[in-house]
Amino acid sequence: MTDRFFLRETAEPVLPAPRSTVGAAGWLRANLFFSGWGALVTVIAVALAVAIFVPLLDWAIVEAHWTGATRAACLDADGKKAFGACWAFIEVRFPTLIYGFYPVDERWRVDLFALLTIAALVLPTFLKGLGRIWGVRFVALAILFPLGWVLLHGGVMGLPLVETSKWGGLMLTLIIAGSGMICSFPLGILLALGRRSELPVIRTVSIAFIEIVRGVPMVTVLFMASVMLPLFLPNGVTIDKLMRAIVGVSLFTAAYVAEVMRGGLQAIPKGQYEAAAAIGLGYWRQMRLVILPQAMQIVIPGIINTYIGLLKDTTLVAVIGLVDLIGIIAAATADPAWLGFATEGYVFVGLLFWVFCFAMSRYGLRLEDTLAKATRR
Amino acid sequence: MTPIVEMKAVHKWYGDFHVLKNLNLAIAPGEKVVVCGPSGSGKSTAIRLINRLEEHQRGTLKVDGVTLDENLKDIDAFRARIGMVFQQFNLFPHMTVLENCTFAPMWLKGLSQAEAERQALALLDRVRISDQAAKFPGQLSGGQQQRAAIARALCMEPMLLLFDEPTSALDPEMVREVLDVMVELAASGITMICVTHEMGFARQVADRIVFMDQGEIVEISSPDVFFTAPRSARAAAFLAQLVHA
Amino acid sequence: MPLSRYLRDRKIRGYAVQAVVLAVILLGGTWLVLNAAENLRRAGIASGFAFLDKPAGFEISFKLIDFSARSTYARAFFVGLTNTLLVASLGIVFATILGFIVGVARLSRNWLLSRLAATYIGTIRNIPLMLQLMFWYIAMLTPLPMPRNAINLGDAVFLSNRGLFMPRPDPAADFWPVAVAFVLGLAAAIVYGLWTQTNWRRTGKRLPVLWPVLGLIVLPALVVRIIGGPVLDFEMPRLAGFNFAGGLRIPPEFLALWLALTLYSAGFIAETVRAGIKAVAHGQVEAARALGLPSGPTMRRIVIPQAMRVIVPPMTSQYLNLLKNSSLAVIVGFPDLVAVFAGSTLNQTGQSIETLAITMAVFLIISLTISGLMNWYNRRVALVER
Repeated sequence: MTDRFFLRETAEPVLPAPRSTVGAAGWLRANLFFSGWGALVTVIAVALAVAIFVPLLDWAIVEAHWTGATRAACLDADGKKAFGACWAFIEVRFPTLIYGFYPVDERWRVDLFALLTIAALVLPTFLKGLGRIWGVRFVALAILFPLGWVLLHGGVMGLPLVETSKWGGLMLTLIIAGSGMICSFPLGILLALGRRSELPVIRTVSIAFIEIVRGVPMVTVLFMASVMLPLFLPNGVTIDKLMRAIVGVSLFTAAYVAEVMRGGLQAIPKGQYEAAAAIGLGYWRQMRLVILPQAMQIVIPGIINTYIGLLKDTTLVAVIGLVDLIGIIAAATADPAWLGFATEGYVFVGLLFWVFCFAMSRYGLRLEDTLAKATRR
Repeated sequence: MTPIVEMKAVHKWYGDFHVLKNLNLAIAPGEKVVVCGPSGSGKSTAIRLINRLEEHQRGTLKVDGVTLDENLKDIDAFRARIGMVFQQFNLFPHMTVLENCTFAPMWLKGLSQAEAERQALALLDRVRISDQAAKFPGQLSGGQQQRAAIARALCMEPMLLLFDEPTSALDPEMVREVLDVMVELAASGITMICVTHEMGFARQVADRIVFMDQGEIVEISSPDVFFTAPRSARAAAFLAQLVHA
Repeated sequence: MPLSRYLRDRKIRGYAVQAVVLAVILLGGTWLVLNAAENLRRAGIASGFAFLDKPAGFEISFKLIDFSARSTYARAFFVGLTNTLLVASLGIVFATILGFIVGVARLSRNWLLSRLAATYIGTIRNIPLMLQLMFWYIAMLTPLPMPRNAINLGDAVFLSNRGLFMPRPDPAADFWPVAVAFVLGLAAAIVYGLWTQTNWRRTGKRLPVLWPVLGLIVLPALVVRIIGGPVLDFEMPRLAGFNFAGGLRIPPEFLALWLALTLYSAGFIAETVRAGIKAVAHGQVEAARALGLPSGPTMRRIVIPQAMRVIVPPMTSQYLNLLKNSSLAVIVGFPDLVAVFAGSTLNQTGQSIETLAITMAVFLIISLTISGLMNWYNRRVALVER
């Protein structure tokens, strides 16, 4: 029986935790086998994982054929398709996947553009301030992309003409995505500001645009851009098909960017708007110098999410006949020299997209964390 | 007299961290015990062992004769006999105050809605917020919410009440109303175990003060001894700090 | 007053800006319309909606209502619309179920289960839907055997590269007593369920709910059927030549689209469910446990009602996304609204403006209605605060 009162004489020793609760055994017990049901679920989950991943890894890695110049590399003794992924197919068609049908001699232009884009993205990281980094990046890319178009299209300054119908593959996907991101950003900001405007005409037009675009599928917007746009232009004026697709993608994304921006603008305390007005700044200077920099900090993760969606949506340009990364794979798998390796193609492309999207989402999460830490009191 | 709570050589680890070291404590029925100590001393963890919201890894813990371990059958029925009041109130925001109080009795004790409401209103009256019965927690002040939480715990007619820093999340002007309710409860004879920084309350109500620091019980004394001449140096330092705060 | 004074006045500037914007819209709009009229005239394409009454001239491979090449474009529109609604609603139902399961699994204490769910979510969300759709279509269409060697399940269900064939229910004349008995049983079950609630409030006694309700739903129809004899004929699919005849045919295009939509949206719904359940403060569960409430009522009455508030808005967006994503049907050749109307009809009549406008209007109306309903729901269940 414990005494009613107590006074400690010596400190208690710090003891190690019981062996069954720590280390590997402890972790297993706590996380996998914590109860009868828990153990059963673990067993089923292990069975499921094995059933899915073992054949998958077997096909993709263990039994795969990694090199070879022709189809024969992937056939077994009977001349039938051997089990195992035929990565040789990807290796051989890799340049086409990247460049599409861009002439081999001119591919240096694509490489140059890619290098400049990477530079525009990487170099500003040496600046200070998240807002400034993204601001500089945006301006750099906004200047680079039109120049890049001229570079890739050619027809001037002695560069041979390469029509956009020859552009394809990863290059096309990234150009559409990049252009879409650059164009939709300022447009989205304008729409978001317009939605908050006190002027009824501006507000109505902005809301109408945003709600209509958000209510319809991207496919219909692409159809509209592709089929209807030429209709509304004077006879004889044509817009390049790729350009039409970019216009469609940009308008579509701008509506979603506008909604993300709206959240950011709403989150800024009213006092900021009032203070900016009180010190005598005009509307546009208020926005540019006081409101938007603060809003940017908040919305960047949301914008990145929207842009991940944009990257995935670029795959829809296939419905208007552009040969993006998926289109190239479809074309490549129809090649009689490499018949029957469609799965490898799609898996590879899936993996590529997955890497891009996953990287972007990780970046977005990291930004969210940094911003949360910065704004926490 | 069999103690209502009995801890013998109770240890707890969070992973590798030895958070509670060799706790030995026996609490008699009807006793009021205040547990205090610096933050991180493990006092909240210690009382949460009593209704098994936390589990200990070594030692014996008995509540009303029932041994708490993995073999404990029907832990829900066991918990229903112990009432707990939380620092963050934890009222159910989508139910009215009255519904908060009648939900568990109706569900667990088979009371009809009329009976449960009668009981609830009586207890809400006792904590002096029966006029707020039809309101939602979001409409109440912090002090009112905590009093409602106390009423909710009382509606289950527990044998023992646990308080986990009940006034720490309240604005200073509302601490008084909650402490007044707790003082009245103490007078009613129910066993109370409180983790709190409110030394005035402890002085007024406690039968014993348990001072914890770094996971171990450093001193158990009567309030007179503890507040005038604490027997341990650490308790003295802690109290000195509180006065300056 | 000097002009600069006018220009600086905010109100006047406001009017001026709006006037300019309106002018731009009206003038620009007129210019666009005139161009369009001219281009259409040049191409010999008609305008207006008269085309809706003309015969379509194409077949549709999958239809819920009757349609032939002589049917009108208007009818084609409805075939497309019903197809879209069918695949979207089936997708929504199954995506929700799967999404909830995966979302709860993601929160599981079992590390392996949680990781598997996370892998599923992470994979599905980072691969474009189009790619997933093509994967399922190519994966389903190519490897499946010819009808002659179709996968046979109990001589009633056949899976081949021409689709899934199932027995088609063919109600006989005596079907109605069974149907009536079923409906009555269902009504009785609902009444009983509600009555147990009131009774619980009044007396505090909890009467059994699950078995009586199931019994009431199933037994009356069953009894009537036993008395009356078989009332449901099934038209069985039979191999005839190169394909199956009779029975219910589910084309591989539909299967691929439904599967892709379901799996894709389930990944997003799982994250929504996870966020919703996590949003409910842990203290709520602790308070419920401290009162002695078992996990059943804790989940059903405390956690889920609070979680639903957080879950419903993003979930509605996901439903709308699924509906919009169904437009990818054109990739695999499933005749949904976009493929039939903004695709085939547009190509044949050349009236791109009318067909696209109608198609977009349909999606817009559905979107705005669902959003409106959701806003109403949000306002109703908002937590009451000071």
